[in-house]
Amino acid sequence: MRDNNSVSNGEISWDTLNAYFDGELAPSEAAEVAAAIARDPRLAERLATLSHLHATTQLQHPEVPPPALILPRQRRPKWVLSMAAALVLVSCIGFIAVRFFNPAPTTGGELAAAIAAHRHWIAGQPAGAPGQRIQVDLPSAQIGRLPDLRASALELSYLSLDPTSREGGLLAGYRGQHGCRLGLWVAPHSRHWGETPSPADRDGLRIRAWSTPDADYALLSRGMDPARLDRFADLIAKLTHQKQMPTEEQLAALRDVPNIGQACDA
Amino acid sequence: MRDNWKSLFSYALRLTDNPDAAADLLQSCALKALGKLSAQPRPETVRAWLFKIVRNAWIDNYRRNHHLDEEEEGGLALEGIGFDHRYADGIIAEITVRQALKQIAPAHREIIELVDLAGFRYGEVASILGVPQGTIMSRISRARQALLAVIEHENLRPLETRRRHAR
Repeated sequence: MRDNNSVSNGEISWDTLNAYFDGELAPSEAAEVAAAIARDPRLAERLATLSHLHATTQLQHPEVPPPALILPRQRRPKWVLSMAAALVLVSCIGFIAVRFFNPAPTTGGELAAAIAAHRHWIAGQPAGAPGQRIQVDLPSAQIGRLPDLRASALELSYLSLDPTSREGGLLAGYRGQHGCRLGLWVAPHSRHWGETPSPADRDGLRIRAWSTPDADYALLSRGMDPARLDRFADLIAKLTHQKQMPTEEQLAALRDVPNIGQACDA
Repeated sequence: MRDNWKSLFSYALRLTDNPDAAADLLQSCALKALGKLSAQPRPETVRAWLFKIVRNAWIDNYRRNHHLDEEEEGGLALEGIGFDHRYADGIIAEITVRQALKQIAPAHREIIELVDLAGFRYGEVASILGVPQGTIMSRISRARQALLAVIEHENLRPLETRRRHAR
């Protein structure tokens, strides 16, 4: 790197001296400058000035402390939301189709798919997952018919569909600020459960299940306090029955739920 | 980003000359950086990439209300012509440099921030500012020249020197 007034005419320019000081000259040029500095005390004084200025400048720190680093939540592209909405639509159509062609209630393993889906979500890896499952991570609860639990500090963050199975099913995963996970399983109607949530714990999961005229629901959690899970199930069951936005009273109740029982153990 | 947070804030503060605006600029930088994760460059160039995001965000948000241009940049540099560039150590003190940095043109402040404080190489500064690398060589020398010019012309003295003169 050489400026117009560089070492070519025997004079070391200010530009060149700065570049030499900053270590930006090619080795041959740097050697020429170093030799010139050794010969010329005035040049050496200039370099000393430069060095002193640089050292003093480096002491200049902002007089105010920097703000705290707050990393914003990563936003997902809009197409993810669109895809999620489309998947929900597909699942709804699937529910109707399955119900129409196969109205007979299932018996025995009606919660097996729900448990498998929930375990798969918790494991967070595809190994041992049910086949043909489609997964979508969602940034927020903006997909319509699923309950909005943000009043309870639970964000809808996961959606898993099983569109190729005759039994069908959808797992909506809600995640709390501290990692608490709550799964809501929605499946084609089998009339297996009552209108109000009832305990159906198994395989290390706490489960509350109920049915509406349209679908079966199961609320699943591994570490949520049973009393809190009961309250969630009660509120969500009412929301699934009423098919409308939650009332102010229900929102207030949802806000109170995190205060019930022990802290969530994911 | 966490590792460079302080130096990014120092740069943002140098650009905006306003702590609140610098904090806002940094937050918008964080947003943009995370939004461009897929375009994140190689690890060795991430630091310059972050500074460039800060600068671009500043241009987008604040430059329309400020006047940083070549005319302003060239102003004090002309005063340095004929300078000897030799100064007694007592003249160049922390307080005189701090005051002089506030008086030189924003473009000079910016390049001094990038080279002397943030420690970037000329090539990295060139990528941040979007100019040829050769331009950086002349810009940094002019900026330091302007800094020395202000230190001398404004007759700034370190506090201790002024106290001695007062006696």
